[in-house]
Amino acid sequence: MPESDLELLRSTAGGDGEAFNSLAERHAQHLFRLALWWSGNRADAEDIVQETLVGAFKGARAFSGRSSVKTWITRILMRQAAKIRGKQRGRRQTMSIHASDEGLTMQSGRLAVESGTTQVDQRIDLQAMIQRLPEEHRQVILLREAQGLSYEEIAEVLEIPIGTVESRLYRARAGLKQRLNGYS
Amino acid sequence: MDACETTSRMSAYHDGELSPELRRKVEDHLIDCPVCQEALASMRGISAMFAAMPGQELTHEEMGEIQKAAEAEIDQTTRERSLLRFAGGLLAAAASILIVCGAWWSESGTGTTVPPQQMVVIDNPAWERVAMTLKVDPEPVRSENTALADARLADWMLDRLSGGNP
Repeated sequence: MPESDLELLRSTAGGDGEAFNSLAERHAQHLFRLALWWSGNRADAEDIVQETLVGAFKGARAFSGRSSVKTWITRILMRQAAKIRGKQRGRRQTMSIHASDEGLTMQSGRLAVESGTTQVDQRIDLQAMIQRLPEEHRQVILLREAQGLSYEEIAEVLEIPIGTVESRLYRARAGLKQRLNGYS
Repeated sequence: MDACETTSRMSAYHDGELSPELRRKVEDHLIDCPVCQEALASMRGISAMFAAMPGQELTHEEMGEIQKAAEAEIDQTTRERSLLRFAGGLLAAAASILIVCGAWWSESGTGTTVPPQQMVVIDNPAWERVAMTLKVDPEPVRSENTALADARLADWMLDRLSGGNP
């Protein structure tokens, strides 16, 4: 029976390298997806994930258990992402999107999304739009849309009240809609 | 199109974060509110865009590199922690030695004792003894040589005062 996240983290705190590797493998992919959305390029995303894992190892002993391990690691990632963001200025790249799913086509680096019912064809660069959002809006929209976290989990990650999550998410979506309208 | 107060709840409604009671109220409101209908449609569109984006995965090689780099940093952290623990132990040992030495020193008074017969008595000058004790030294015992020298000095002085005449 596989060990729970909490068991692995406790073992990590005791210096068990194998437990740490298992924990890292379990969470690396979802952390990477969030880091990639956040940073916009794979190299920075890898750095963010690496620093997050190191931060998790260092902080394993201090984990209080009040939140889930996933929420806790995501919180570390958001902090690391904010630090690394400063380094990436000047070498911003647009995320490479390999559109293979039905309804998606790549056209000159822009993503065309076709709705099955309305046949709306919006040529957008979603990544670029997200990068232009204020940081606090970008955080909530990525945690919700890219990570699928509940409002309660987002509140834990960002250490803000649930009501603030709701209002920020509303404004983030309104801001994104405004930018998308201006783009099309 | 006029603004609507309920629009701000559309995010929570869209994400399924409203209580059942509130959800029913919003659904009733949506039937007659084109502003909220549009807001909701827009939110659904944005969510559809995110959902349509293909997932980006770490390759096996990238994962290996990340783990290798993380392990190197973790090893360094572990070494630093060990070094700190060692230094802390060393410091504690040094402090213990100091405490023991201090206790021994205080137990033994001012340090090494010298038997009285081996002690060197320094004879302070007369003026210093007087200054320190405020007591005048008793008349020193004059030696014969000192008395003879005094007599010669007195003769010499008389001889000079009388101009050499007896």
